[in-house]
Amino acid sequence: MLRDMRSGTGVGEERVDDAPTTIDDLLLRTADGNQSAFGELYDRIVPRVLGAIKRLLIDHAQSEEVAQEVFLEVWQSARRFEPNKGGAATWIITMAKRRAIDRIRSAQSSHDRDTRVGIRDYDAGYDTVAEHAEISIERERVGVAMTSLTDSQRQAIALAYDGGYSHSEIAEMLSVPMGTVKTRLRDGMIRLRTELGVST
Amino acid sequence: MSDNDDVSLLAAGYYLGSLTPQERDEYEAYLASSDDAAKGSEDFEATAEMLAHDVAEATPSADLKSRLLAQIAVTPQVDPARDAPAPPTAVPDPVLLSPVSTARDAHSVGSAEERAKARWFTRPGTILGAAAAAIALFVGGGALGMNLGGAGGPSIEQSADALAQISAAPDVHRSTKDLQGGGTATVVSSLEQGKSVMVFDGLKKQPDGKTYQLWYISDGVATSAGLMSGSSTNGWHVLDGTLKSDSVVGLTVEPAGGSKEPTTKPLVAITT
Repeated sequence: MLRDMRSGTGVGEERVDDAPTTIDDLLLRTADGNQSAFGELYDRIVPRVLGAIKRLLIDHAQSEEVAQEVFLEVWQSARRFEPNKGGAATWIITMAKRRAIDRIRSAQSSHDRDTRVGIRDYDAGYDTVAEHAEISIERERVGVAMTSLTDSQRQAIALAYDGGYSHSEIAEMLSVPMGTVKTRLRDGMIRLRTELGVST
Repeated sequence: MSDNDDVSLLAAGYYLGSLTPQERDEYEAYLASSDDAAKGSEDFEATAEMLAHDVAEATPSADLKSRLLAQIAVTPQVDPARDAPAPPTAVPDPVLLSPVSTARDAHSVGSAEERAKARWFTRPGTILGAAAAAIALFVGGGALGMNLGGAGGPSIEQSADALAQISAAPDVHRSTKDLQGGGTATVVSSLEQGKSVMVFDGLKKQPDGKTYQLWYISDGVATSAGLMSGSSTNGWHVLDGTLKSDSVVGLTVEPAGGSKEPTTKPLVAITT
């Protein structure tokens, strides 16, 4: 991203405030019942929330339903957010992934539910991505590469990598044979490898 | 497809973290088996590392936000999760603790014990001496009931009165600690009144053939402050005996009938 070296903003970008409001700020103000702060929080983070959900659910309409549930929960339980335990963006997006997986599970015919909701809690850069800073090169590259995968491949990878689920768990959640899960993961990874130009 | 198809199926899962331990062993054995295998796997490893940077984004329809704003306008926010409840300040429900049931001798307190008991409660200034004398008396008295609460122990009403009195004292002091094995105990004490009460929450029932015993510990001397059976896990017990300024309140598990001295490590020891 080109940057104007004098003002520090990207060429073509709006001039930013001296003290840009962070996602954490917005969540804390939401906790005070500030509805307009909530609206701003929504604007800032809904692409990532919806993106994370859609990766797991694929279907856009369902994903929007879950996103709505997530934001409603964010509004209701904003006071429970503890700033010292990680950033607000991670809190919100982790909540989104959990709900998406719940939605997958509730479609399961099996009654044998695994109560573990294993969301990889690593900081995927949600909080470190400064709103007004450059997007990292890696993020752009992998984002582009991911577009070359099928929905099923992206979904399988998200469940395995983010959710930490095993082949058999994924197979059960999606009601597909285990071999299918393995194939999707392999083919997805091969495609990514190619798109990213990773080859030794 | 080559016969490495199966293994390549494992490879993706390996770096994505979706293999079972057995599958991981299988794949690692394959890696060790050939240089080509190891080399090929590096690509997957690097690919998986890139996934850490992936931040998926999608654009919502415009009416999602307006639906949401309409919803939150009528939705209350919940308070943060409460901390562990503070020690009760009001008089809790009457406790179902039975007075010492095994120490039948409590009913046959002799006059010497009565005098010793009187020394306990009436002369705070010479408690140390009184305590020592009391203990000596009890030790000399053999297997006597350690319940100083009088014949049959206090009634619920008397017990509740005592708790209320202590709680209302101007110099009331409270101290809470976790119990070994679960639950918490709070000692509510008044030096002015020379009394204390242990209020507990989540105390487990004592093992068969055992009893709980309370102690006042001061200057290296432990004085029994009563026996109790935990037939209710929440409740309180007014300590028999007089509180001293340096008293530590202890709770131990003892054989039924109580002991002259603590024979086990305390479930809790609280300074007053």
